[in-house]
Parts: sequence; structure tokens; C-alpha cells
Amino acid sequence: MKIANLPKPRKTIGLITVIFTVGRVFVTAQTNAVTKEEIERLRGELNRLTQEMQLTLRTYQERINQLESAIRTLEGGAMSSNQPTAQLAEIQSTGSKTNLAVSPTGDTTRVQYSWGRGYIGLSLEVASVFGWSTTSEVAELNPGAHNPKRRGFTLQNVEVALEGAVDPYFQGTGIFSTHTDPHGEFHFEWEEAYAETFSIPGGFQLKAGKFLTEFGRQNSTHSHQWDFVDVPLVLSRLLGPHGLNAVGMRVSWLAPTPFYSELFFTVQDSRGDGAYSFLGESESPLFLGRPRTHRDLRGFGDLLFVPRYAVSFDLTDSHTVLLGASAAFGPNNAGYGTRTEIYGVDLTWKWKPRTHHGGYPFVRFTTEALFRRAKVDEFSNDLNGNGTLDPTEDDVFGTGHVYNIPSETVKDWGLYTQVSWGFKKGWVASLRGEYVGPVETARYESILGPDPERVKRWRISPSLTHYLSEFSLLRLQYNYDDRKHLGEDHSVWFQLEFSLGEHGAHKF
Amino acid sequence: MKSVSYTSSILLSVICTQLLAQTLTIVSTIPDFGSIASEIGGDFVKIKNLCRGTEDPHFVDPRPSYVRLLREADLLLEGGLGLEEGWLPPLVQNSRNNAIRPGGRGYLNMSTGITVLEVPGPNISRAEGDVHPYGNPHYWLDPTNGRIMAEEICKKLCELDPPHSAIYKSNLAVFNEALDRKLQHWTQRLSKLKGTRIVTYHKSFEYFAIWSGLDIVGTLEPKPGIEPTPGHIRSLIKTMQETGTKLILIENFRPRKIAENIASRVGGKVVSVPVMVGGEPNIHRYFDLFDVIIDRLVTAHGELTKSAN
Repeated sequence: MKIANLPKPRKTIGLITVIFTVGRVFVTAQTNAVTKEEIERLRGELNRLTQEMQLTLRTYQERINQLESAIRTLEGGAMSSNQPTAQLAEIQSTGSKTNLAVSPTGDTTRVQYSWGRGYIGLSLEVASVFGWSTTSEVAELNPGAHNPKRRGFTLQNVEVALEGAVDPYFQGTGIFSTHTDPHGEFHFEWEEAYAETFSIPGGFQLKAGKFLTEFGRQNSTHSHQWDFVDVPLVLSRLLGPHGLNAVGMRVSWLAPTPFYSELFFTVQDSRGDGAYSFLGESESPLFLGRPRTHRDLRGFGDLLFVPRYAVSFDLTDSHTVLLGASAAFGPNNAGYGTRTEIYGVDLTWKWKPRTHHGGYPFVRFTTEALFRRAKVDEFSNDLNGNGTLDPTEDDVFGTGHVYNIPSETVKDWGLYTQVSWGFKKGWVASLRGEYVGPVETARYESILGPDPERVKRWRISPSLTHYLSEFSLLRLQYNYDDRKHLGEDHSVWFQLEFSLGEHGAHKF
Repeated sequence: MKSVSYTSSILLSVICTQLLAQTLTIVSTIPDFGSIASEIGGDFVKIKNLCRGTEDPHFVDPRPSYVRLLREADLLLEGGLGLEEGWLPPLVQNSRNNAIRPGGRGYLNMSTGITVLEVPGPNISRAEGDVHPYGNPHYWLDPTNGRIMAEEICKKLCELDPPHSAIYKSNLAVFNEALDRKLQHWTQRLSKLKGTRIVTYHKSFEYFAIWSGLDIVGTLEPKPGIEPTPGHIRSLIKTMQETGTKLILIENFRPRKIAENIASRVGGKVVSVPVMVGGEPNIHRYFDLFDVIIDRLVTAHGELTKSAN
């Protein structure tokens, strides 16, 4: 390559020398008046010059190639200028280069090839389900917001995601989603809308806006990333039907350990329907036997605090584990100074062999366990203490009686374990087992009767998913439910999911 | 005052030597780019490959540990053209490493300068399968593209680490020379195969075929990313019989069964080959890859012509 940088005259001299040397060898060979060493030396010289010449020729060839491609670029530029859309796409590209490409038909088009393209990446995800259950109150059986809500058809989720680089500092995401409420009505909301920093020093990352909290394994994911038609019971019961989701900010730190280790700390608003176990709202006006009070934040401590720590190890070339521990602390509205604490641990283990075809086969095992402790205040609907329900007193329990409920600490827990086996390209068989229940019967329950939102229950769900392509899937799932006091139920769901637009990336 | 400048000059030289002794950490998606980078970078680079040579490069598992690797990377070598779009972007975002984002100093899209094949027209639709909107991304299987990739890597390394640019340039010259010798050898070996018709599983061998003079008459996948269907296989067999196609060239991570069935129907042969460095244990360098692919093809072709006679 050094030769390539030589000025032109030297190359010409080189060529002349070659000719000269060849001639000299010829002549000297004829006269027989040379020593062996000289022949060797000349041979070496000749070799060197031949090599130099090859390099020179190659350089010229390269120059020709470069010129040719430059001409093609110019031609391509001329073509794309006739196509305003192509030009627009080019202008919109952020930080990505354009490339000249030749299609098999020979026409030259200007394309962009980088994934950091465009101002906004747009995609649409749709999930709908058809099925039947032995109970007509499907919404009570399946409390999650994007779960099947009724016998027959449910449009579970229509999700529009917008994503892109805001500027050199932030990546912006907006996810507009819908869900069907238990009455069959449609609701629209910005499920998430946040900005995340690209790069701030020290391995930190900030996220601000409205977002699904990084608590445990599944809470921060969307319905199209799940292996089942519905959300695990323990999540919809302890974190709420909408999961943990509120306005706030999160800082995370990627620790400089040799393995993956990340510490998250989230501060969010403790109100809204994504803060069910805190100052949030719910379908029922009661939370753990007490009417939800409406109260303002009285201090910094009334916000929701969610720390999480996650580590991951590559056990072998084909086995990976991800472990996490999370907690959520905040006030609840079953009283005036009462607080809720939720703790969770999660484990994901994944096997994907060194050799795979389209990502198959694989086995993924996930388990999460959560524990919730909520302090709740004493409550009485007998405001004047006369022992009867007067017209001025609110019949919050709808029974026409007065109740005096003492303050207490209510503890619940639950877990799910699921395993998915991608046994053939496009085919995934999954099995999930779940349990949720109270640590002990609460005192309010011995007065008011069992709370359906606390009853002990089991669920077993086998499912079979077929990905027709990367962009659509069909899923068949059976749920066996066993609820204490309410009995057994059987449900079968047949789901169709599809996506349009940007090719979404898979997360671990 | 003098002692201050003396100490500071010592300090400066210490820092300089420290900087010079430092190596560049390169993270490559597929091992082929990593292998070329190690030929150019020599001892001054440390290479980590995310995709293993036996994996389907479109479906690499985004392990959390990759975030750590990307965080430390001075340079990311990406195939581009949508090759890694199913797994790489969130890893890069989470790595918090601005340098390796597209357009960053430490980002190199390896398709730079490559003449891209099969760029779809404006009427692109997923009804035609998972068509790559920027063209076919399997360009490293044309060894003449090896030179373009090596040159781009060299340019990038010289930009990131100017003190060693002379070494990178001379390593590039050595690489190019070795490639030229190999190309001569390969072309000679492939001369008998010119015009031989083949079918493939996925559209992975278009670049290889154009370079080697093979003629691809069809793929097992009816459309990119869609698994073979019985109807498509029937029509593929018909095409193969009509055109006298006997060779089925597949990547070594694809299932062999369907290919074997077709081969037995047409009296042909399945040639399963690695498509990336590390695809088989003895493939350490970019050149080894072509040695193996060409060897398998020539052997299979030889056996077929022998049995035909």
C-alpha cells in the first residue's frame, strides 16, 4: 500500500526500471560475463519490481473503481432527485449514511441502511382474543387490563408505538394503547410516554415521563411480549390490573462489574390507575376493605419509590440466567398515614443452543414471587356511633349495616412459574402454574366476609403459540382456575396478534 | 519551576505511553468482521463477537452480558442492512455508549462501500415475506467484498488510533495480498462449477453465487423468513428437475431433513456449509471459511458428475 501513496513520477521511474532491468538481464545472460551473486541480486530486484508494479496496477484499478462508483453515486443522486420521497427519507435520516445500491434489475436506487433512521419509527400491535369460560364474569376471573374480558370476542390491545431520537441527548418513546373494560367499553390512553438519555457519564441513564415501572421481570413489558394470553395473577392482584405504571423518573446505573449488573431507582407518582396498591384507583371503591380516601401528597415521602437490582450471568455458551430483586414503597389510601410495601424476586433462565435456526429451539424458564404488606387504618361507617346506618352516613359496603373495622397489617403473596419451549421454528409450547393468596385472613374479612381480591387461588395454563411469521401469531390457551369459595373454572382462549411497521427488536 | 516542568513532562510521557499501550476494544456482530478486524488491528485490538459462527445472525439472543461488552467498546462493527435489527438496537441503547451509535465515532457499518444486491423497489411489502428493505445483507459471503470490508476497517482504525496507522495500513496490504492469492486459488477451483445450478434454504448465498458463477434457481423458503410449505417444495422439485439442478446449498444451522428429502427426489446432494467464521471449529480466519465452502461444493459436484457418468 505504501507504493500507492508515492507520487506519480516515481511509479513511472519504477516502470522504466523494470524494462531496463529485464533488458539488462537479457543482455548479461547472453554475454555470460556475470557472477552467480549478481544474477541472484537481479532476480531479487526483478521480483521486487514485479511486486511494485502489481501494487501500482492494483492502485490504478482501485482508482478506476472509485471513479466508477463516484459516477454511479452521481447518477443515483440524479435519479433520487426525481423522487421527492426518496430525498425526504434521506433528509430525515439521523446520523445514518446513505449507500449506493444496485438492485438485481440493474436500476440504481439510493437507500439508507442503518437502523438509526428517520425521525419517528412507527409501529402498530394488535391483539384480539376469542374464547369461552365457564364463568360469565370473565373480567373478575382475569383482572389484568389487557386480558380477555368477556365470553366471545375481546379486543385486548391496539397499541401504537412511536420511537425515535429526540436530539443528541434523548431517545423518545410514546406508546398509545387501548383496553376493554369489564363493561365492554373501550379505553384509550398513553400507556407510556418517556424520554431516555443516550449517554451521560458514569454508566448512568435517566428516564422521565410516564412509564411501566421496572419492577420484576414482566411488569415493564407489553402484552405482545408475553408468552400467554393473560398476565400472571400475582401481578394483576398485587401491582394492579394496569401493572405498576405512573409518571415519574428513573435513574439506572450499569455497574462496572465483569458481568451484567444494573441498579434501578424509580420515583413515581403514587396516584392513578397504575398505582393500585398505593394512592391509586380501582374498579371497586374499596381497597382491602376500606373505602379509598382521596388525599393529596403531604410530602416527598408520599411518592412511590421503586428500587431494583438485576444481575445476569452467562453460565455457558448456551445458558443464561437473569436474577432480580425489586421493592416498591409508598402510601396507600386505605387510611390517612398508611403505607404499602411490595417486595419481589425474579429469575429467568434461558437455553439457546450454539446452533439454531431462526432462533429455535430454545427453552425459557421464568419465575417471579411477590409479597405485599399493607398497613390499613381503622374504619367505621357509623360516623355518630349510634350503631345504625343513618341517612347521613354512607353505605360504602352496600349492605345497609354499620361496620367497625380495626386497623391492621394485611399481607398477601403469590408467585408464577412458566416455561416456554420453542421446539420447532415458529412453534412454542408453554406451561404456567400460579398461586396467589393471603398470608393470613385479615380482620376485616372476618367482619365483611372473604374479599374476592384476596382469596386463595390456583391457576394452571398450558398454551401453544404458532408464529406464522415474525409479524403474526396464533395462540391457543387453556386456563384451569381454582378459587377458594368460588370454585373451579375452565377457559379456552384463541388469540391472534399481529404487528405492522418497524421491525421491533426482541429483548432478553 | 524547572522541576515542575520536568515532572509534568515525565507525567505526560507516562500518560502517552499508557495511551499507546492501550488497545482498542472492538465489538463485532458477526465473527467475520471481527476476524478481519483482528488481521488489520493485530495486537492493538481486542475483539469480541456477539453472534457465534453457528448462529442464525438474524436471531441472536440479546443476552444482558452483551450490554457490558458494548459499554466498553471503542468500536462496533455492524453488518447493517437490517441484519441485526431484531436484537442489536436495544442493546446499544442500554449500553449508554454514544460513540458506538450509528453516526458515532466508534460505529462502523460494514456494508459501507458494498454493492448491495436485491434492493427492493418502492412497492416493498411484507406480503412478500420479511424482505430486507435495504437489500440482501449476506454480502460477506462474496470474498471480493472482504477487501472493501478490510479497507473500511483499516480506515476506521487509523481514525481511532492514528499512532498505529502505519501498522494498520501494512497489515491491510498483507491481508489484501493474501486475499488475492486465495482468490486466484478459489477461482481456479471453482472454474468447473461455473454455471452450476443450485437451490438454497434462505437468500443467504446470492453474493457468493454471483462471485462464484453459480446459478441459484430457487430457495426452500417460499418467501424470506417463511418456513418451507409442501406446495412450495413440490414446485421447487419440479423446477429442479426441469433445470437439472442437483445441488442444495444450506447453512449448517438449518434443518437438513427437508433438504435431504428434496435431494433424494431429484437425485441430488445437500451441501451443508458454515457461513461465518467459527461456523465450524477449524474456521479461524475469513479465508478458512471459503476454503471449506468451496471444498464442499467441489467435492459434491465431483461426486455428482462421477455418478452421472
